[in-house]
Amino acid sequence: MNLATWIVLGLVTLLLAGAVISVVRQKKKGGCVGCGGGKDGCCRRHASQKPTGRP
Amino acid sequence: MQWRIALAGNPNSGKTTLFNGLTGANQFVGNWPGVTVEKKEGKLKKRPEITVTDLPGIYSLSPYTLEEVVARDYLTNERPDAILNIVDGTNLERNLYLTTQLAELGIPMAVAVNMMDAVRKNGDEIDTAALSRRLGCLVVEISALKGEGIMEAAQAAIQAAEKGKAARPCAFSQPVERVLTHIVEKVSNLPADQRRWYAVKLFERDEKAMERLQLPAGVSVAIEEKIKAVEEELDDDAESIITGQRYACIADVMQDAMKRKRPAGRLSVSDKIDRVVTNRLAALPIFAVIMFLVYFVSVTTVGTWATDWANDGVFGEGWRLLGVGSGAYNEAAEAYDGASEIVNAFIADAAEKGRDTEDLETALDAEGEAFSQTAAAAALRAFAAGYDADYAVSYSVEDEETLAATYETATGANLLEAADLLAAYGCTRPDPADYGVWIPGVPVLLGNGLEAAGCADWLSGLILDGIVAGVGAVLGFVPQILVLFLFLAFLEACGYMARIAFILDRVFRKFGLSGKSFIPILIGTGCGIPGVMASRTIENERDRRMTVMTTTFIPCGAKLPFIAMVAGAVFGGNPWIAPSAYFLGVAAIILSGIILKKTRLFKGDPAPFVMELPAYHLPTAGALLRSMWERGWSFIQKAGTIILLSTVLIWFLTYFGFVDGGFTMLADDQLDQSILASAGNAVCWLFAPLGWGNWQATVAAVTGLIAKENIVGTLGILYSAGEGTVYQTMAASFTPLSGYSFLAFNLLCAPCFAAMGAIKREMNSRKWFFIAIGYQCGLAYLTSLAVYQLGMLFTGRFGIGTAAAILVLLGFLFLLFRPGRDPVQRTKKALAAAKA
Repeated sequence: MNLATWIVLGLVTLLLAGAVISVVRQKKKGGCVGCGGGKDGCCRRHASQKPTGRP
Repeated sequence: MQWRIALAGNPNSGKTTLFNGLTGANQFVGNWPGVTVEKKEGKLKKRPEITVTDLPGIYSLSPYTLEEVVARDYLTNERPDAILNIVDGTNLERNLYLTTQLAELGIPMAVAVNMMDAVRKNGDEIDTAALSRRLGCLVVEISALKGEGIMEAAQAAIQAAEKGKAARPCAFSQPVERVLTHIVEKVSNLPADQRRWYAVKLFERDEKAMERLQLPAGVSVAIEEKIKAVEEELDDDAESIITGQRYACIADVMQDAMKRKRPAGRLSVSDKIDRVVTNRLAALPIFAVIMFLVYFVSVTTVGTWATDWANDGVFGEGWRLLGVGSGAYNEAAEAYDGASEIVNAFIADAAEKGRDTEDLETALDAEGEAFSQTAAAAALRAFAAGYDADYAVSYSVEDEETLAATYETATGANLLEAADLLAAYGCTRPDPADYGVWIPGVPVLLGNGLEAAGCADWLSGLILDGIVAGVGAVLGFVPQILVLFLFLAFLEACGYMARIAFILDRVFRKFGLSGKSFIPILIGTGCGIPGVMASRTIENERDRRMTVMTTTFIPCGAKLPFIAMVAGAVFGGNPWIAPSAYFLGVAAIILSGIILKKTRLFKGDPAPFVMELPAYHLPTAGALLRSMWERGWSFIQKAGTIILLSTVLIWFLTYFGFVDGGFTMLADDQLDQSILASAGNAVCWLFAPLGWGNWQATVAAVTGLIAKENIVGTLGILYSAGEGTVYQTMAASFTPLSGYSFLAFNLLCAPCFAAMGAIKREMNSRKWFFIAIGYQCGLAYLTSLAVYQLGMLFTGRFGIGTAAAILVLLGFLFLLFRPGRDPVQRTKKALAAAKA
């Protein structure tokens, strides 16, 4: 493999590592990996937008 | 000194907006212990010694709903230093009901009247000084949305805490007050500030209060006799007496403190709109038209234009800045292609008649090493000159998008004109870069860069055929996602979505369902996970489980790309496909509800549904754009994380396999020997009855379990190998029937892993989790089977699959229309059996 291949491979590895770290951090924060929102991300925000009428 | 302030108020009164304004980023979000109701605490800005607790929104302190129990227990057990009661100024009368109850707790209190800007806009006036006099506590005007008066409100609560002075409770009528005085004497062991509260609760026969106090039997009997005497005197039950007298007290306060511009009984603008929108006959058709328009504009018009630019431009060959030069280029390209077809038709005709055309074809090959524009033009003109003007040749032309073939005829005269035209362009197709400002697409730029750098083929393949093809295919739909989310945010913010739940409750109730189940479904149009989580508001456990099972049938944002892809590739951009997917989801939910409600696991009366309909208002552009961007950014983030990782894995499994016993990287025409193809082929037979039993579609459906966008990403990788665009290859692989069957299956089957995780958490039971997933997959399979096989019936084909589909349909109709067991009759039967 030539130098260019090694450099590009390194960049791609960094990109993928970044993606893995991002997913792991989101899971640890207790956020929703599904939509990418963090602890106060879209899941909690939308779950709290509920009418609370009572019988 | 450390103070604790509790925010209490009705739902939608602006508590959370006020809480966010008071605490800023200094918040902690969790759950109240033992329950799934959210708990929010924070430190007051610039006063970290003051803790603010945001209680759940409640209409009263009676212990019926989880939120009411949580709020009441906190106030009676934790006894915060002060309560800041937020009331909605536009709905003062209803909001003051809770205020009268809070005043009885004996906890220092201040009242913040919110939405004062709306009150003034309506032309009404609230005399806060009079209100303060009548309630016996500080009253502050605020506008939580604009941040006006919020720190003053916090200051008022702090002052109340410092003085230790509680608000003035309602004065009830003489007969009631006599009994309350008697009860207060009996609970003299309690702190003085709590006696009034418990006296009123005991008068109302509040079970939780009675449980807490554990009064001696003799005392309870004496109290009960006095309550009965008052009930006889006032000819009503105790709870209703208290309620009625609270409202009388409130009416008295309102007379002093509120001046209305609009006389009672006159309709507001919102009321007038609701007369049309929630009309018994027009409501559902209006809803259908609105949702059709939303999906039509998002997917077919604005969305398609923007997505075409993203897919074919940014992630394709390239695009022209501001579209300048597009017209001229398209004209030139069309003329060149037309001329080429005529020339190719004559070359094919000559070859058929045994003439040697090899030299001509070599001369015209623009990719060839020895190509020369002059020589090519000369060869072409010489070839054309050899034909009579009247000599005719027929040839077929395939439409690029629809792949429909039409037959054309060209004469020798046409050939001469075509030769001149091609010669004018130097026998090479017009270069897009010569018209306007051409910006090459990402694949072109990356491809040229990697080639220039001498990067290894396998790595170039990973980047271009894996990452760019996969992630690019998903990101290409960002414009459609943004447009759809903008519309949904508008419908939510203006107040129409609340009406939809109310409209559908009327319909749902006929089938034993409750409109309350529709709220999570509405939320699920953005993402299924908060939709599933929102089922927590449903108190009835059976209805809650059923809602969790069916919420993900509604197309979420992640499903939109593959709906749009099928609509574009297989149906030529037909505007009905995307709305039909939405209505298919709604139909699946309603029909599932009807069927499940008749089973032993889910039967029961529908839950009552009471919901506040907020007044219509025009949302601010900023709020809409913020909401649109939040959801859109989540979509993009997901593409950069989960989708990216998935596409790399899928690329590897697609482009590597065993050939002649050796493990190697595959060429575009060898993908059928890949690891992914082998895995796909092992199970694709399962989907043959559904019309799409090929390994590519099977694999795409399976990768959709990681994230629904992956369906597009996977097809983007698998169908971009070889000639033709992804859309062209997909159009060739699916018929309209099999395409819609594929759409229906992926729409209804189990959601993504993250949503499955949410279902598992909400079900809190492995057995119910598997029932839910099994039901979803089963329904998807059978629906898809019915769509394809019964559709084939219309084309005159009948086979075992058709017979199976007819049986499925009959079974479905039976489950739908069979009489459910009436719970009242069931109870009567059980009682009769017990007596016997």
